Amino acid sequence: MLYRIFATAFAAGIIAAALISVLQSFTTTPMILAAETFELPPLSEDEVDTAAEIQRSVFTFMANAVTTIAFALITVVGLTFGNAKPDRTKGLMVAAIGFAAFGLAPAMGMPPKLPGMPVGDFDLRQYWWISTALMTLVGLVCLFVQDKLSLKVLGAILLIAPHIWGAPMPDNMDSDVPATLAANFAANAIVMSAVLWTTLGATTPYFYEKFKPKEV
Amino acid sequence: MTTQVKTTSSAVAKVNELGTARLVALAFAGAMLFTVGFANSATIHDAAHDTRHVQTFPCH
Repeated sequence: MLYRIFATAFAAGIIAAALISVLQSFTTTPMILAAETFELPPLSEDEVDTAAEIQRSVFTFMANAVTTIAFALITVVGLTFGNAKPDRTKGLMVAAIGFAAFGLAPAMGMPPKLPGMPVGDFDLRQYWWISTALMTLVGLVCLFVQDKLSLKVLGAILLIAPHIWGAPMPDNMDSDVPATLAANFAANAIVMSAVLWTTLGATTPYFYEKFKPKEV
Repeated sequence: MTTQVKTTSSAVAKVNELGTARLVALAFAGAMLFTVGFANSATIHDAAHDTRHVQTFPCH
C-alpha cells in the first residue's frame, strides 16, 4: 500500500511539476525577474550569467517537484478514503479541496507577491498560512464529505475563522513594483496553482490503478 | 472456522496497513512542504525562491 501511494504520488507529481515549470518559465518567472530589477541594480549585457539562469531553472523545477509530489501524496491519501471508486471524478473532487485549502484560501489573505513588495511579519505569515491551509482542509471535509449537521457548522466556522482573524499585513503598502505587474503576477500564480491541482486530480487515479498490486 | 479467522485477521491487517500508509504519506508530505515552503535556511530559500513566490508560501 505504501509503495502504491508513493509510486502514484511520484509519477503524478513529476508530470505536474514538469507542466507548471514550463508554464512558469513563460508566465511568472519573467515577472519575478522584472520585479527583481526594482530590488537590485540591473545587470549589464555582458554580466548576464547563463549558467546561473540554468541553475535557477533547475532549482525551481526541483522545488516545484518536491511541492507537487507532496501535494500528490495528500491527493492520493484523499483517494483512499470513502466508498466511492478512486476514479478521475473522485480525483478531481479531492484536488478541488486541495486547491481551495493550499491555493485559494491562503492567497485570499496573502495574495502571491513579487520580490520587493511589502509584506507583514515573516513568522506570523508562516503561522497564518499553515493554520489557514489546515483549517480550510478540515473545514471543507466537514462541510462536504460527511453528513452530520453539527460538523457542517464547525466546518463553516473553520473556513471563515482565519479570514476574520486576518492575515498579517505590512505597516506600509508602498512599493517600487508596478501595481499592474503585481496584479498580473497574482492572477498568474493562482492559475499555476489551479493547473497543478487539476493535473494531480486527473493523473493520480490513473497511476493509482496502474500501481495496484497484481495479486489482489 | 479457521478460514474465517484468517480472513478477518487479514482484513484487520489490511486496515492497519492502510492507516499506517496514510500516516507515513502525510508525514512525508508535511516534511516536504515544510522544507520547500517554510525552512528558514538561506540555501533552501534561494533554491526554492521562485516556487515559494508562485505557490504563495510566505517568502522573505
